[in-house]
Amino acid sequence: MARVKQQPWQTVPYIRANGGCDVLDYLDRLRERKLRSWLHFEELRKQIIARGPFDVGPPYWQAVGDSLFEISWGHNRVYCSVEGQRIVMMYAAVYKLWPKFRSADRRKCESGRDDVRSAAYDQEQRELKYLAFCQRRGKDGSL
Amino acid sequence: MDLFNRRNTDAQQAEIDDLRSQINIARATLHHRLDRQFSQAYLGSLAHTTQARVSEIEGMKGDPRLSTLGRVALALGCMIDMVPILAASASSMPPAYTTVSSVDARFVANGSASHHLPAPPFAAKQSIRVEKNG
Repeated sequence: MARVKQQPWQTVPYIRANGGCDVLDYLDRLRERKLRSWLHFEELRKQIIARGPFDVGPPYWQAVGDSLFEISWGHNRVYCSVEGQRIVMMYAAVYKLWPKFRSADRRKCESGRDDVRSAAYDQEQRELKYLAFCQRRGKDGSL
Repeated sequence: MDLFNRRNTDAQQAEIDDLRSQINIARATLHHRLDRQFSQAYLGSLAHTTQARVSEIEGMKGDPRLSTLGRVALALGCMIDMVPILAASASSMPPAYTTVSSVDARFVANGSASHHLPAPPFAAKQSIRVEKNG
């Protein structure tokens, strides 16, 4: 049987139309305050890229309903969906001290997902907007 | 464009360098556990420890005992090793190995004990005696 070469997995932060990005902001704060926790996330992200999120599995990758998933480490959660061509799209990040997936977070994820699935969404354009947004805030969005 | 890939500040890099061994152990534990498709609880039971301890190792939390790490490594078909760091930042560190035989070799090559060498071990005295006899 012919083997079809599959695309590698990607992790992509959702960037709002104004250039703001909740996930990257959260991770920046985490890196400043809790470097170990940020390092743990980076290791998980590498494994997600290398193997795919479903092979990483619980406790780090879990479904939360409505085709949404969470990356979970410690009290930290990043809410995601899996979009076409093996893309893990990350919409929101929270420090979770409650057992439920809050409806406010769910709404944020769903509106982000609607935006991503709309024809107008262009990730490259949004990334440029994010970098401009960082510069406006006087923050180094360096790569 | 990988927006996750940011430059570390000097302070962050220093902290990462300090945590290097823990990072390596956490990374290796996670990698090998996922390779073997073990859950944390199953790995914990194989290593005679708990799921929480495995989670701590993978999350670089706490300060697990070497014996616990050894059992976890063994359960994953691995062993813990100590390897020399080859990074430029390690130039200020002492050499990875200063064995008795290498100290002896320097004694014999110089013909006399240099003052900056550490106090020669018992074996080094023997080698000097051999040289005099020869």
